[in-house]
Amino acid sequence: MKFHAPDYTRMEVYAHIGGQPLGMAFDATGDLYVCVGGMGLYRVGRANRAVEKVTDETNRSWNTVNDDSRLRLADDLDIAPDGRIFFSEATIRYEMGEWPIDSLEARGNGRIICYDPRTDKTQTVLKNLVFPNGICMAGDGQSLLFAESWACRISRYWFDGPDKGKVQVVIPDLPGYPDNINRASDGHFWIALMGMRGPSFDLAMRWPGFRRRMVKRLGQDEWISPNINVGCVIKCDLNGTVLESYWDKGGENHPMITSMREHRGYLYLGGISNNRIGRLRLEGADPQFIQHPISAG
Amino acid sequence: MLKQLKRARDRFFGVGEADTSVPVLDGPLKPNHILENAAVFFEADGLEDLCVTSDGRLAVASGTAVLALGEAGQAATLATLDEPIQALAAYRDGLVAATCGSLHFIGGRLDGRQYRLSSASFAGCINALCEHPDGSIIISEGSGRHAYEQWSRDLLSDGASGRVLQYSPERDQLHVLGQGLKYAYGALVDARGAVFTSESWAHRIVQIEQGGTRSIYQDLPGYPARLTRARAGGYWLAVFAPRNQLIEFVLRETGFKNEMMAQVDPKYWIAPALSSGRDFFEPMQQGGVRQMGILKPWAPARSYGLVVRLNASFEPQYSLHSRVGGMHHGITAVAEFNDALLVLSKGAGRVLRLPLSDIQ
Repeated sequence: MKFHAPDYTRMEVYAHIGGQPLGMAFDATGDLYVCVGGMGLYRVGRANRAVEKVTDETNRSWNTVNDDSRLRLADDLDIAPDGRIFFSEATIRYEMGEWPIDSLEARGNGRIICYDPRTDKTQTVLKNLVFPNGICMAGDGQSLLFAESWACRISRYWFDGPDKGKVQVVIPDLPGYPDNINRASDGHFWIALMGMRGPSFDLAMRWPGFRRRMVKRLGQDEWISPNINVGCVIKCDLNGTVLESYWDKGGENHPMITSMREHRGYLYLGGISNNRIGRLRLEGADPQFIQHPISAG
Repeated sequence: MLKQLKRARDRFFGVGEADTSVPVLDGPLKPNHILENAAVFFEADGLEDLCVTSDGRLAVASGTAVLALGEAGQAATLATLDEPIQALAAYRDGLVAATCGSLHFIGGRLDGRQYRLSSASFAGCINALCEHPDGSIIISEGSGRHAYEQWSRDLLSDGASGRVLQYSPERDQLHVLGQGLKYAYGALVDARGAVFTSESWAHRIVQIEQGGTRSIYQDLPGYPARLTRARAGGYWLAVFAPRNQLIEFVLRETGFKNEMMAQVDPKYWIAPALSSGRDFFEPMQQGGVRQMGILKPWAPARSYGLVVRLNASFEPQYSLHSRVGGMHHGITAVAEFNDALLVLSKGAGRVLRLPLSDIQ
């Protein structure tokens, strides 16, 4: 969908993707890259809005019996200054609609993948991540931040420079399940918490046998779930210090905020199981800020 | 050995003691919104029990106070006790209230008199009272191991230490009518003097007989609480919490539930509750995830509001509901007052008023 500036009351269908679109980012030329759950990484051309597949497979792991080369749940992406696209695949075991099962499994089923448009090659760069979700460039051209939802953890990964390949945990123990990460106009980062941890669910996570028997004996609606009927967005710096938090504690309007983006002085909020987009005026934010400015054309 | 084999078989097939299914709300228990939409008659913190006195006044227990409520819900304090009141009943020309350790007589001929309840296995879990035609008081005691406010711990510990007692003020004597009950919650005497109680953790109503109990109405979809007689014949049953498959499952997971009781704040246990959905630390189930901003009506309930109308032979006739996501949950007491049904929602801290002509 496209909402037209300046008042965003007029909207139109920008492009038909054919799957569940998740993370999105414009590149410098105005092409829109989209992670589509169940399909892979897609591109919507700026000129003709043509939808084309960028990639739907990566290299196969040499030590697995099943072929893990196909992308099952491409989730979020960001584009490095040199044009490489880093995107997360939340889980290699479950499809888009089955992500709650992964939340109960909470194992290292996910990975971060890099697509290089110069060579048209796709390569897995990090494996065994616990539902890697949000991806955001750290701003130094050499590293990115990524969120691992069920590990309640934010980490930083260096894809270039002297620390290439290094992974450092930035926030080890969030009180909720992080989803997307995006840039704020003041150089810090917005993190959406899709839900909050509860003591009984945390305890269940330490009892794998309990969870296994539960999924065998009970219907899916009866399973214990992370509490995602709550909306929360936090702002943190590159050291992991949380600076601000915004809440919908009762989940009245914005339960399960999975994504947020700052744009021209406002913070826009969205959730994958919701039917609305929220907008919050940010005091003192740069009114000209755009996360993915289109430079060419 | 045989027991272990049976347990292994049950666990493999998910039957017997491993069966986590719960009865559905159907037939006379078909859900509606009557309780949720009922007019609020009175609101206060710590509401616990209500009754109508012999001279036709409505009395409510709220925290440590006994209040008399007027026609329009205006309150006047009748008495204030030292401890929170756990049960209240009309007795002869006055009232009798139970706290953790004592019976207190309020108003009438016995005003000011107290009786100290104590025995070796007494945790103070008195939760309902009623007057017997022979002049004694029937008392239900939920648990001999856990205090009244720790009822969820009693459920998760497979509590079966409830008793039904009879106290005679004339002789100042207490004797036991029934014991070993899975949380006795409610005291009722019918016209012929037979004594009934709800056995909450067994989801049934039982008649207390010489040397045992007889199940009268079983397989309830919730945990039954206090019973009262209806003027038109039959009874009202308050059901204070719903049964839930996840909770049934947790009840069978001994290791998990013991660790949960040891480590987690009781408010956030996977256990029935009197109210829910106000705090995101509470456990949630996948069917309870809001979709498009809406909590779906099929979401599994942790708390619920339910009153069941029973006929003279304890068969359900119809029911009043406050469904998942509603306010008026945790119904613990019901009374008929001035052609209306007054329903006490402990979860919401409210007394609700429903004209009897509207619900029959």
